Amino acid sequence: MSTTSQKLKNFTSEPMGDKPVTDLAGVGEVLGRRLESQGFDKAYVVLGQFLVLKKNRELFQDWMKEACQANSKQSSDCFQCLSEWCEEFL
Amino acid sequence: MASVEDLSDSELRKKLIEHGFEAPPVTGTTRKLMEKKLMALMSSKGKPSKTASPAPKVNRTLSRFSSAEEDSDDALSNARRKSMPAPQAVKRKSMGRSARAAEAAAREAQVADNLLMPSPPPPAAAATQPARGRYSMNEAALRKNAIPLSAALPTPPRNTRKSIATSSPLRPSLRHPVGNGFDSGSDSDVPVPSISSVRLSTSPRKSPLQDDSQDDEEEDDDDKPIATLLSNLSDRFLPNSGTARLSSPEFSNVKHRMNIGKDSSPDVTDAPFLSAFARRLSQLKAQPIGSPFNGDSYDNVKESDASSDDSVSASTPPNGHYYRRSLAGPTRVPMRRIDPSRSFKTSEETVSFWNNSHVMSSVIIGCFVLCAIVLVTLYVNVASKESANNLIEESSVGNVYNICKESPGDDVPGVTCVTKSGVAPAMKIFENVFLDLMSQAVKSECGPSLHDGSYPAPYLTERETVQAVVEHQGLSIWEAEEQVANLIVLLSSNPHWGVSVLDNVVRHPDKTKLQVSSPKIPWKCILKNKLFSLLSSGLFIMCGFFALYGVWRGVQWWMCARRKQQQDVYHYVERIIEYLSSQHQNTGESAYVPVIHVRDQLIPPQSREKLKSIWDAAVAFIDKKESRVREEIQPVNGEDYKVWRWLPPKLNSSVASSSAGSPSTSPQPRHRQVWQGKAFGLTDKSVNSLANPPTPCLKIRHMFDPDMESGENWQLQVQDAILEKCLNAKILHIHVDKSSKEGCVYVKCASDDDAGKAYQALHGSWFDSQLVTVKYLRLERYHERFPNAAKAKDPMRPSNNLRLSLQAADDD
Repeated sequence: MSTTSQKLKNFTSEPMGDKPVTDLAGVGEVLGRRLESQGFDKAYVVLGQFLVLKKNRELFQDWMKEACQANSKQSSDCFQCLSEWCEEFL
Repeated sequence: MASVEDLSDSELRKKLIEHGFEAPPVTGTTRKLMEKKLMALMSSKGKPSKTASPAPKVNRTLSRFSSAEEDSDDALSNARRKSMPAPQAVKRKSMGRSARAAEAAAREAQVADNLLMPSPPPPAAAATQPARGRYSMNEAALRKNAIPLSAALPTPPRNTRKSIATSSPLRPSLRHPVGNGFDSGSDSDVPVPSISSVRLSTSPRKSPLQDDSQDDEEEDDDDKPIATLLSNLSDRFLPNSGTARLSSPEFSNVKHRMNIGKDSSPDVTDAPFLSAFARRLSQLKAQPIGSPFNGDSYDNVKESDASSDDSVSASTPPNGHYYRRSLAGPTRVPMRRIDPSRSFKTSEETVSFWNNSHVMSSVIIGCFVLCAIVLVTLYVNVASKESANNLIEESSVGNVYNICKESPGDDVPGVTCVTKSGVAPAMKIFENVFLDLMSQAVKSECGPSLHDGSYPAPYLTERETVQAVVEHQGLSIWEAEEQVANLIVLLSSNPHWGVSVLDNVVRHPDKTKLQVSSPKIPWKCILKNKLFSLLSSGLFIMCGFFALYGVWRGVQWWMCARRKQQQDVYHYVERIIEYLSSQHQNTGESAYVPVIHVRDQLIPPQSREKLKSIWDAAVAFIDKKESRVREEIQPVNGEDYKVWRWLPPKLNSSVASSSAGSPSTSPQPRHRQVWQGKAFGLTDKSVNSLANPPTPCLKIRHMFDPDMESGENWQLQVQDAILEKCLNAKILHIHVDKSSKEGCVYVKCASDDDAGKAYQALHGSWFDSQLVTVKYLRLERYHERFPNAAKAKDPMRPSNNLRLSLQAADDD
């Protein structure tokens, strides 16, 4: 987590609008497909879950693991991405 | 588990909050997380949760406390995934029902094959290979093959049957086949189909997009006694083992029900593992079976059979479209290959032992304490070993005995060498001498002190040594002298004996001294000495500290005194100027006043001597720095005096007059802080004043100008001014806000009415050339800002009775 990825930068640089879930940092094709299959097709849906879990890192990572078998790196990236976006735009 | 799931969303949230967790809303997507969290909290609090099954508890605590969180969690999820051999299921789907039955039969035969082998189990990959090969064969033929094979060797299966039978609920159903005419070989078959097809049969029934919760519910539905299921199985399966009825839907149902155990693992095909499986089965019986997170058992299953499982999943191409979970299938295979290096087989025991992390930390602390104790004992032992005898014995190799040569040469017996016969007696007295020296050294360290209070020297001279030897050994003085002389020679050549010989250049009975090099001082004495030195150094430090403190205080006092003197000087300078200017006003242009007269006017006789230095300083100040006063020598009444002449400045006339206008009798240098009348009258009809004062608290503005205020107690003056002005109102608390730019003063009165009176008195008054305005403040706000105001009960009084602030008003 020392360096911020390009994906994270891209995502946190602007409002998310209708971006697909795969635009989230840490969510690639595979995880994106799994999330979509559960109804989390847009990034804002994941944001909703993120907010419902009160921005709690532990819970969110647990949920990511539960929902799409994300590993800790992926879920941590995703959490980081969303929390930074929230700091910026929420 | 059940009760956690039974809770409603709000109850669940309440429980979480009870456990000190700030729970987010519980919704459909978060509910599972919250359940897990609650269980983790419950188990981490050590509360005996009857509902939660032990397995998830252990897993959660492990993952919570271990630093390698992902490892254990990965293991859990791995295990869960593995328990769903998705590729097989895919294959099954394509094969259809009859193929399913065929596979079951093939596995059965496989088990029988394995049971026949007394040797260690073959590699599972090899074992499954023939089994797959038989899929194409007729299943009836398979059955026929299998049964005789298993019947041929009754002994090993019987063992396995017994081990299975130990799990009590299984017993009747397992016995049943035996009574049915089947030998025990087919007994061991019973668990096998169920095991090999654990999730296979459930999985196809689900839609591909079915999510976990449904999955779990389904499993929960299956929580029915295994016994009935097994009897069901045996009824349907065993009597018709040779027929095609195996492919009936009931069979798949049965197999599905066997799924409850979830110990899905082909490893059971290895005969040695059967008993292990039975143990696990009984464990599963003991705990609630249908719990969805039986990660514990997954662990065991997976690890014991990584290779065979690998072979199965590797040999069948995974099809990701049927199972959501199987999507990760290909990537999982390499991970599994790594797994055996981690010893998860023992996870049950280790987990239960390590699930409390404080056990670990206390063990570490215990180890540390143990190490410290061992070190201390070692040190004590080493230290205590140093005694005279040990020294000599240990270093006997290095001992040097200067034996005198037969031929007379440089050697002198008793001075540089020892006669052969003199060694033994000298050694004999050595021990005594050593002890004497030791006690002498101890005496020198810790007393008792001699008559003059000093401690004895830490050594014995040769003469004293001889006397001691004579006393203790009862030798004659000549013998003793000779032996001591010999001993000294020996000692000086053997410094490692622990006795050093001082001043041995020229031997003299009074100058040659013996001293123990490393005396053994009793610890009490050491402690005393240390304490004493500590105390003395502490005392020294304290003295130094007090000296520093004294110096600091002295400097402070001196600074303070200087400042005070300076103030006094300015005070007198001001008074002198006032006096001169008033004289000038009274008498006209050419007025001059002798300096001494001014002094006599201003200073009462009794304090003239005392204030001489201040007066001199004031005079010097006026001479040097006051341009409006000129110093002259003028004859007054026939005598020349040093006089001051007042030169009224034209530009500063207003300042001069204003300072002249203020009462000169006041001791204060500033007299401006007086009430100067009302700007406008306040009546009850006034628009701006409230008829009923709403609160007892007031904020008064423009009471002072913070930039102009000087002196030490101007705040007190402001406070007094307010108190004097509002004498009829009871004021409990006043705060002068020094930092405010507007000159704010906050006042709390005893009651609303008092506040009203104060408001009437203060609002719209002129004070110190400024118009004072007053506002009401809310009481809570006031207490918030000045918490100690709430405690104030007694009405305040002015600090003096001079009513200084009202004088100008009185004058008017």
